[in-house]
Amino acid sequence: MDTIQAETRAPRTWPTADTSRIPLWVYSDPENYRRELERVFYGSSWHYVGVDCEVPNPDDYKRAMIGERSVIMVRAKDGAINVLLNSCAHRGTEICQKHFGSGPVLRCPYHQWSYDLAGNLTGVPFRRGVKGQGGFGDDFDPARHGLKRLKAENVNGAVFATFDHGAKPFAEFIGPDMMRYLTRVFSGKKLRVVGYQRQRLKGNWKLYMENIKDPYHATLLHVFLISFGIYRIDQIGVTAQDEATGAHCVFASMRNNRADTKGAEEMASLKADYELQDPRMIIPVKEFPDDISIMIQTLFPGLIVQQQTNSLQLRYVIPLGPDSFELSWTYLGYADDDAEMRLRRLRQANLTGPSGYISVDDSEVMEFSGAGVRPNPDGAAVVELDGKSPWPTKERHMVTESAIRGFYHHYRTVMGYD
Amino acid sequence: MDGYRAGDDVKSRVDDLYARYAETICDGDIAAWPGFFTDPCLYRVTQRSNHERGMLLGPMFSESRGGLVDRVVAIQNALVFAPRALCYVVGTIRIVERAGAVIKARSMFSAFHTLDGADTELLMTGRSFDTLADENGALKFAERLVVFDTERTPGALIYPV
Repeated sequence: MDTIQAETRAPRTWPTADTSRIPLWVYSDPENYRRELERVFYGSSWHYVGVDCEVPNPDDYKRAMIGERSVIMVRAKDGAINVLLNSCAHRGTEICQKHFGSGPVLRCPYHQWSYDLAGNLTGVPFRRGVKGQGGFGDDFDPARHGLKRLKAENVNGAVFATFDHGAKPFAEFIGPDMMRYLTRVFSGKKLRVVGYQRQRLKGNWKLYMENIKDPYHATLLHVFLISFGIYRIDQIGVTAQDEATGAHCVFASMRNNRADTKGAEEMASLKADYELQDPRMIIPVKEFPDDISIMIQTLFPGLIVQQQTNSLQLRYVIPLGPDSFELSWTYLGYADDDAEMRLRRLRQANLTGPSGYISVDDSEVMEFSGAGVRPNPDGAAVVELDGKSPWPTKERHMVTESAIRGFYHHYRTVMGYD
Repeated sequence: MDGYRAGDDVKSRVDDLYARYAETICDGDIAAWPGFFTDPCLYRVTQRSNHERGMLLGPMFSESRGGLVDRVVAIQNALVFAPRALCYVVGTIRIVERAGAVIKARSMFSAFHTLDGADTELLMTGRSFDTLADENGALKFAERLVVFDTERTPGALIYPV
């Protein structure tokens, strides 16, 4: 398409007044994607960058991604965690290439400009020139050439950041209900990272977020889940969405008794007589003060916090263009896990990740989704299960697509489509 | 099964095991895969960056042949995934150490997959660090640790490596 035309084309409009329809161009339109980067990722939303145990000591740092931008999460000398844009103030070069590192100074490999851990420029080679020649002028003020610093908050070990220093505090961004669920896992107990997994998936990043906001598919797609009573749509569970935006949500449920198959007639994939040869993989141990065995929380735009019995994971989507994204998994435990719990978390991890007995279905069907929506941008998805409201009905059951409608309700506002 | 005959040298038996293992998975005979392991066993697949940081987490973790059977049954009956063909190119198989009947060996490999209708693409490259033992006259994996370099697996890792 002609470049001038692309830049002056008016933004697209949403096909309906509500979000019972999702126009399929949101998954493929390049201009929409560029707008998303600016408004969703580099705007006023908060984004996960890491857990504080990844940078345990002063001088430790790690790389993270927000949208397409690389940022550095660093532990300062006073113990605070700073988040800095990983781009030299000189000519934009990426400063940190390693995923993890440590050192009192952040030094750009190109011209050795050096920054302290707050991002202040502390060293510029040849600032005064060499043998009376060259150097920077008197009007060069290093204080104006530090690394771009993000606003950051450490929520009991989970570190979030935003590019907008005027953004509302994180607690207000997600609301008290969501904060209550988040701090079940991030309770203040010292954390440890059990390990990482990463996948590159074909399709738009929002298709994955929708999948996790979609309890509708759980019992219809995931044969493994229902065969072992790990989850059924008819088990006791609630949907919660934040009051302010509807875009953050939680599904929380209690473990079902396998013998109860009432209401299961429409679950075509139920195979009730399937036994694991090695059931150690799914044996749970009560770890939290309540009876919730599965809690899946999604925080706008791209974070998933999941407790699947004793497997605790963060999943984070990193867009790689409109039609590809990275799904980055961080598996967590607590520093006081005994040997049994450590083993239990490793065993239960078989359910999730790139080979996960539950997760495989999701990533595969998500790629099928991408294949179907990619060539049909003029179509629209129909999301009317349990009505058309972006909020759950008062019963707050899980037979609903309200969480998907809620996501787009907020998305449209952020993107300027409402 | 193991084509061992009295008089075959150990390296030939080891090479034969690695070849048959890869062939079994790539020919599509996944039901025969657990038979390559002793019981109990330890089968772990993990990415290199986890391994180098001493983290045991990975996409597959099994402590028994039964656990491997569970994965086979899931692949055949439960998991939803696009059909695909696999090709594992296994090389530099070397016996690292021998202690009686127990053999420590290692290999390096490239794995490719071809989803139906799509181009063949690299799935992963990696190394395996294995302990082989005899079970009723057949050489099998008592422990198999696969450490893959690929930071981002393309799509899902359905089949074992």
